[in-house]
Amino acid sequence: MPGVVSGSLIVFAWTFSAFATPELLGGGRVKMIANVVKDLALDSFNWPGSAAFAIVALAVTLALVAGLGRLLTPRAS
Amino acid sequence: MSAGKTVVALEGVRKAYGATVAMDGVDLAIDEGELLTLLGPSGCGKTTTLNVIAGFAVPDAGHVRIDGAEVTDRPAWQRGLGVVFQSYALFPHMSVADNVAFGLRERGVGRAEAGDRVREALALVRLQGVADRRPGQLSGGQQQRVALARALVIRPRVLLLDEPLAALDRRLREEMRAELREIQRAVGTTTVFVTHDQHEALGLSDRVAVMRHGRIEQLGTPEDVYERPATAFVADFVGASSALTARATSGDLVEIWGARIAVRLGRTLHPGETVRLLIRPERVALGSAGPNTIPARVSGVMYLGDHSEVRLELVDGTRLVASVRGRAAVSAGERVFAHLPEDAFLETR
Amino acid sequence: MAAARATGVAVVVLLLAFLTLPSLVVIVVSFNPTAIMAFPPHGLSLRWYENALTYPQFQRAAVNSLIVTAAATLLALPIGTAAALALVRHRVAARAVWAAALLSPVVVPGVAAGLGFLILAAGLGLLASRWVLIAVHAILVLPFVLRSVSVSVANLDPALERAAASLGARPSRVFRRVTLPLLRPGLAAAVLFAVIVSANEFVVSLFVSTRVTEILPVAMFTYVVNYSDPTMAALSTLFIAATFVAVVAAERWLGLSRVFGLEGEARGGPSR
Repeated sequence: MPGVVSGSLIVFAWTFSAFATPELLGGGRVKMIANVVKDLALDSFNWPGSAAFAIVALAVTLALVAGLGRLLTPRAS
Repeated sequence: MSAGKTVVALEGVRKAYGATVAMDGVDLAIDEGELLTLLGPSGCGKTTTLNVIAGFAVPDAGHVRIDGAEVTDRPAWQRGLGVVFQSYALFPHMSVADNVAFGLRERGVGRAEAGDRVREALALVRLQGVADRRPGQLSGGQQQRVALARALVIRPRVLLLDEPLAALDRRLREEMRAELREIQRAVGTTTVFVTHDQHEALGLSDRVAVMRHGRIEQLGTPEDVYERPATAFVADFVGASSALTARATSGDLVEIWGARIAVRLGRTLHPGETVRLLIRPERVALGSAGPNTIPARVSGVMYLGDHSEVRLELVDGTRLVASVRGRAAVSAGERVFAHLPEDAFLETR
Repeated sequence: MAAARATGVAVVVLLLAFLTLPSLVVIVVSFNPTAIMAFPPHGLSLRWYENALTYPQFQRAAVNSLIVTAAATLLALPIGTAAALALVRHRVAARAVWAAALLSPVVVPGVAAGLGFLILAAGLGLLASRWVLIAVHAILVLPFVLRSVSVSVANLDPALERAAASLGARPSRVFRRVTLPLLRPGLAAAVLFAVIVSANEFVVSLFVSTRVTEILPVAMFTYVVNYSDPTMAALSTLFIAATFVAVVAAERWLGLSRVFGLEGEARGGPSR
């Protein structure tokens, strides 16, 4: 079970930040958070906006990884 | 062994790893040409002592001197010693010849001369024909010899051996034990040997230092340590012993559960005092009633080939072990008399 | 019973197909003679390969990739090795923190890192320089180098180095004659990982590249966004082939599966 949980969290964290796939397959209509970051930064030059979204992505990923660490810490049972 | 000059001197050496005190004030002087063994249970500080002499560990306090020169802070590579590790630590990516030649090459010895000395060293440890093999292709015994050759070829000031025989099976261990002694005698190098095996210690050494909890409990020849142990720990660690509590009835008589036993302890006893005694199994004889005997019940017999261990129980359940040659003439459940010679006792606190 | 087994096999086949079909489609499409990405292809032609290999922007980007990957690997190797030796061997204060920090590039989302590096580089006025890209790649590649070398360091018996020292070798000699040769498998794996990761790195590089300094994956992305002929399929096929060869060679020579933890001792944690 711990392996399944850890694997799932890793996949989720990684997919959450996916960029290339939604960019190329999304047809400009389906955007994930990574695409929004790039659009705001490189297309609109809205650095603060872009940074805000980037931080959210980072925070979610870190929360998952940190949560993962806590979840997998062996408890005396 | 020559009562010669001191080659290695440890003065008041202390070493702790975090909360664990590995060496607690060790003083030791090792003489030229002798083989001194550091003997003790795991955790007693013997390996740390070796590491301090070798320069792998820096003491927290105290001094280390080699030939009178202060080397406490000198790194290992400048001490000119030879070390044989428990795991042999042969370089797996080099051939046997390159392994043995390693120290020579570090000293700038030319290829030709190095080659000769490597051959000499391998011949000394009786290992010919493997020079081109890799350590991984050798047996444990062979690896051990290579490790020894590698340490000796550089003509070290002191040879340090950290439980070198521990990984070998019993047969090989006994063979190597004898060979090691021969080689050490032939080459004459001052040697420090670390082991937890008291047979090795007794058989190999000129002197033995019995260690416990980071201190040397006794330093002496193998006979000193065996026949005249300074403490109960030494008596029990080096060879076996049974503990008896007795009450003195006169200057040289004690009483153990009604049996009158004469003891020669090198001091006069005070009537009424409680005396704690130790006696070695080989001094306990089984026979019939007589002076200095005590009745006991045989609780078990273990036949070990060349001798048998007879476990006895006194009236109150005190255990007494007797060692007899060959097969024991008694069996479990029998009542016998154990004869305890008066000069066989050791006193302990 | 047979039905269950058949279902199991079917599921595995479908999964494998799902994983490999995109690559297969790309490879097949790359041979299409006309300027559309048709599947199935109308014929066989190598014109798109020719186009890909002669396109000036790709050529420049390929050179950039070579330079950046080589430099980043050379930069990350000594840093990663030193870190591995320190973290595995010694009780470094706040070891967990160091490990987390050095392995963090794997966890941080590419866009977040890319944006951060972009702003930082711009602030320092370094944006037009290739060095930013090299530094970024070195950082991104470091966790893989650290992981690979750490495995070798953990397998290196410290007694070997002590033995060398006892025989008279000063620390630099010990490192050269004993430590380094024995770390070779880990170092080789580290180089391989570094090269593969750096050569394929896209998201962060997208943020920090300029037209002049951009590496191949970024150039490919720019092309795909603007054109949709099979040139990209051709270039991708070349990329796939190169990576395939590299990984197979690595497994043959290095026993890569061991470093990954697929065989031998078990290791936890992601290795993206």
